[in-house]
Amino acid sequence: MIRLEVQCLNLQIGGQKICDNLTLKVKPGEVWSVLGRNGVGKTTLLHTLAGLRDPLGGQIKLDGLALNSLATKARGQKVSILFQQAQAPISTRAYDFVMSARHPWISRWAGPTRDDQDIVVESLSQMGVEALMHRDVDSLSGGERRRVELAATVAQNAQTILLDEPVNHLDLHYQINLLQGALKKWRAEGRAVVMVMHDLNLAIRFSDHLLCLCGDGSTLQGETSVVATTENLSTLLRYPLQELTLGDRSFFIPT
Amino acid sequence: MKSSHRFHRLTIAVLLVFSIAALALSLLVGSVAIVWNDLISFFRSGTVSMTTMVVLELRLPRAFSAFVVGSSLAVAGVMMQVLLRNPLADPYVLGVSGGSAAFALIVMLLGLPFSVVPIAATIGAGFSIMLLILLARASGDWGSSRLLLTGIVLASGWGALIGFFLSLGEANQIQGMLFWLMGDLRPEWPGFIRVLVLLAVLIAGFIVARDLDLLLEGDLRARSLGLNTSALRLIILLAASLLTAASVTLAGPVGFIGLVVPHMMRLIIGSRHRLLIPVSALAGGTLLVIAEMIARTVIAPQQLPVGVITSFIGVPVFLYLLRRRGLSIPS
Repeated sequence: MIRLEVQCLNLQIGGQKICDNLTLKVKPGEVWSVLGRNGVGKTTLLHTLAGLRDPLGGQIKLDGLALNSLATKARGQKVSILFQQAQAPISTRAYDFVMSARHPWISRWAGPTRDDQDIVVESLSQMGVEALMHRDVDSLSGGERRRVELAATVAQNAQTILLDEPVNHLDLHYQINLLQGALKKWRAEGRAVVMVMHDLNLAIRFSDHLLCLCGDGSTLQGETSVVATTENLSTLLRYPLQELTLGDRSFFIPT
Repeated sequence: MKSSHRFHRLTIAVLLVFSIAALALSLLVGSVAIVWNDLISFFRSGTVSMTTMVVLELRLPRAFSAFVVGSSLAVAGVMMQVLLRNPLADPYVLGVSGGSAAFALIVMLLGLPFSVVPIAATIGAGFSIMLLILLARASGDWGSSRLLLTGIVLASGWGALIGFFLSLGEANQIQGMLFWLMGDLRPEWPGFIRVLVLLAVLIAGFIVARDLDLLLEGDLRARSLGLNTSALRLIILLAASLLTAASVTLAGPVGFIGLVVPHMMRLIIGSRHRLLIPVSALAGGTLLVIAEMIARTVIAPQQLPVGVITSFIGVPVFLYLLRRRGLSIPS
């Protein structure tokens, strides 16, 4: 069983290759991080995996079904994406924002059910923001807003979850608690998570696999413990790194 | 949640009462005073007097037309605000009514059959919206003032074109056309098709209401949540064009209803379209019935074009919104 399968994916942006013949298999319960320098196309890759952008070539499958053969609503049930930035300065209540993430599951005729309402409240409380339910999303701080957006991801209840810089704007303890809590739960539920993370060490700490975009279309992938070496990461980020070991964990810092 | 439902029902009830009261008042007010006995004898025995003729043949159709035009414009405003994700979008301000009127005028001056006029008006409105989207989209940001600037320039372009065609017209036509172009309601029934267009859009709006809510949250997010945004945009474009054309062919380009009404309603009941659309329709109709009543009484026995009245209301509101709220849609 493979949650997210990518075959021979070709992606370009503005003539620059993001990936060339990328093949990727993400199994249930796996957490992948995409690494690469700024502008290397991490966000574009995530958008493509979410079906928001057509690749130049290749195929993407969710639970064995081709992404482009899915109806838009069915796609919304299978894959969710947390965007790097808020879309626009539209103001709406936090509750309504999270409820709108239930859209793929809500019938046009029946509307939101009691279940949907319960899921929304549960998701908000899972992210610790149920107290902000009636607040306007616009009036929230960056971190509060991010947690409301994560609650929306939870509420969408997709088996494949794409996260673009999920801990952007979050305080340190939320970065750790949230990643630890949410990822543990998602792993246990057999979901597949692919995330882009700005912080190299957080990515290494919380993901079991890494996908590195090198910038020339070539990629490097594998288990974190195998891929995360001083040499690989230094080449990838084009800056010499040094590995520090503390207990059983490794950290990479710029020399 | 429960109390907000009650509040919503109350809002609709109050608006219904207002609209019926406005319609009734509009039948009673005017340069010919109502003789109650005449009305009573009409309802008792069907005797048609001067009073009943004025009411039934002049005021009733015109009031009804005012209601349909007001409703159509208010709903067209809501639609354009979703389409362009900008609370200041309005068919008149952004030149959509102007495009519709210009196309209608061209067809009339070319001497084409009268039945072509509504089609030309619809095409003109749709063309104008698409032109607006193409020209303003380059910035990629719908909330920008670029959209407003583009729309306002388009509107003055259509205005110039209309002026050009008017000067080609014959002297005896011009007075009537000028009045029409300022937004004028004649004692004329709105016609079956216009009512049908309005009802169809109201029903379609009710069906896709949640999709409209979602579209307001941004194109990418809406798509990632399984909304076919291009199909929805096409529906909105069509609805806004049809509604604008329906009202322009009946009453000329009446301004600002599509701006003022949805804004007031959002302040009262929020941005959820399931409620916003019907409530705007009721309020828009009521407002134009009242404006029409003012237009024909304020300098009676002469009449003002109703568009003059709506602009008197709309311009200050528009400027206030531009200054106060900036460019975001309140929840």
